[in-house]
Amino acid sequence: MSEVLAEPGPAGTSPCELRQGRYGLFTVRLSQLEPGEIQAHLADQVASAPALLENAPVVIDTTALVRQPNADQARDLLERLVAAGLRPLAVALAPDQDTQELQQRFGLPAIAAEHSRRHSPAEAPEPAAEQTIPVPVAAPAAAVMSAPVASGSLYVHAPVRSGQQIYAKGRDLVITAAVSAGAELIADGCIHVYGRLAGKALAGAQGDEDARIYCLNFQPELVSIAGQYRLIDSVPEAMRGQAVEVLLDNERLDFRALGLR
Amino acid sequence: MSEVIVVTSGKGGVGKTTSSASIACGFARRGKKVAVVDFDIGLRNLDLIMGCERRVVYDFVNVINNDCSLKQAMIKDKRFDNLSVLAASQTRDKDALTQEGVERVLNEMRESFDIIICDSPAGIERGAHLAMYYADRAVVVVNPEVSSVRDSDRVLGLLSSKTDRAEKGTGSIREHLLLTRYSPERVATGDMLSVGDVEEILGLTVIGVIPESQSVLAASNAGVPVILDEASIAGQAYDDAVARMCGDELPMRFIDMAKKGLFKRIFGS
Repeated sequence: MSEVLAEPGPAGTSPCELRQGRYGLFTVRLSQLEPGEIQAHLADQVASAPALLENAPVVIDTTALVRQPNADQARDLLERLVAAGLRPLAVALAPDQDTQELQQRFGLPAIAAEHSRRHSPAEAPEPAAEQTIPVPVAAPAAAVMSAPVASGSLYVHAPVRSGQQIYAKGRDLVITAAVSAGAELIADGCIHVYGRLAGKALAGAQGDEDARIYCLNFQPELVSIAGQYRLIDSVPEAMRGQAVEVLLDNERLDFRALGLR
Repeated sequence: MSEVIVVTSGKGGVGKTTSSASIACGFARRGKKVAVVDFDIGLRNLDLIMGCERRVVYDFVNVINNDCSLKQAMIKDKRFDNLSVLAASQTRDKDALTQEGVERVLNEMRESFDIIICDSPAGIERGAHLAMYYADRAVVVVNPEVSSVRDSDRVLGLLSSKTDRAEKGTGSIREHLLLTRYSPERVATGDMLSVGDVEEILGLTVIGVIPESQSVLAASNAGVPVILDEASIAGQAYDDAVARMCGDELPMRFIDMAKKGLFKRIFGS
């Protein structure tokens, strides 16, 4: 599970990466146009976390590709994503791309790419100068995406033992007992542990960057918010065993001691 | 009211069979009608520890397959006539156990025994799963070292989710933690987890602490459960644990280092 939510490895290890985006959706970000490998890689990821990823709506982000796929390649790509168990919902749009053209090529609505500002201009695709006259498409020009709406919290009043996995889909997770090493907590919202947290805790699993983790005795194997993660070894020593709040500040995990000071 | 008690651990070699045999004798000595069942199909050990290996004619798998009646397969203990052993099959594997078969045999046992002890195999696969599935109580045997503690944690998780009681929602299994092979000297030098460490990690209090003792090995080889060795501190600790399982409140013994006598203090040890 952590693999899916982890930061990408060194460039070139896989032709694409799956990560949670700000749309409350997963984004498939392509780095190489290798349709077969992309399908295999994504199918692996879906198989490793079916509860989270099977039939998950995804945004396709091709903005990192040096050469953009043509209409045939785009169609092939979409079919492969579906075959891997994902549901393509939209295509990410770089600031300098033509909305109409992109929508037509993929037959999907286009939404602004979330990482486009990080790209160097050289990397960004050339404006489609040779493009023909845009043909109107049926899809809306922009799709409004909303994060999953929380519906109450998921409460667990028994210890969460090694090997157990709890997923609070679309809501907060509240545990009033200890979470052992080897246990895994996943929530689309916040995670509260009123006890010892020795397992993994992944909050904001669908990309909610405002999600936080609270716990009374902090010694987790791993914590993650919206895909940004830390292992215990890189958590400040002073925080271990303390009552701690974890939040995402400027895309970095921040650890704060809770209680009176 | 009959009760099915599983003795389990996840990890192998921590003392499940030794504990099963001693706990069974402890209950029998208190007048309960006790059956102890070896679920470790293919690695038959309980009959050796109980000292009845020469009298095994039919085994657990024979009863499941209706090759014989339960009565024919139960081996009466020579020391307590209210204690019987159901041996595992040595020639089969764990797939020979079926869920329906195990349920039928345990239900039949419930009619004639007060306490049914299920000696679980190591691991968390089929044999261990079936041993715990119909339990009312569980004794989780743990050694004071990190891998055993983690495996026990996993097993405690399974007890609260993958059992008949958990799946039908008919109340939770009573969980007891039994700490075995405990050495206060090694705890003092920091080589071993303490009772408190284990209790904190697992979030449970122990029902008994069995000290590491030479008498356990000797008792196993002799086919006499160590609880029957009155001179052994391990045997006394097992008896305390059974008393606590019966509801008695006893102080924990043998968890502190033995005080050195005057001679040892003067001349060293």
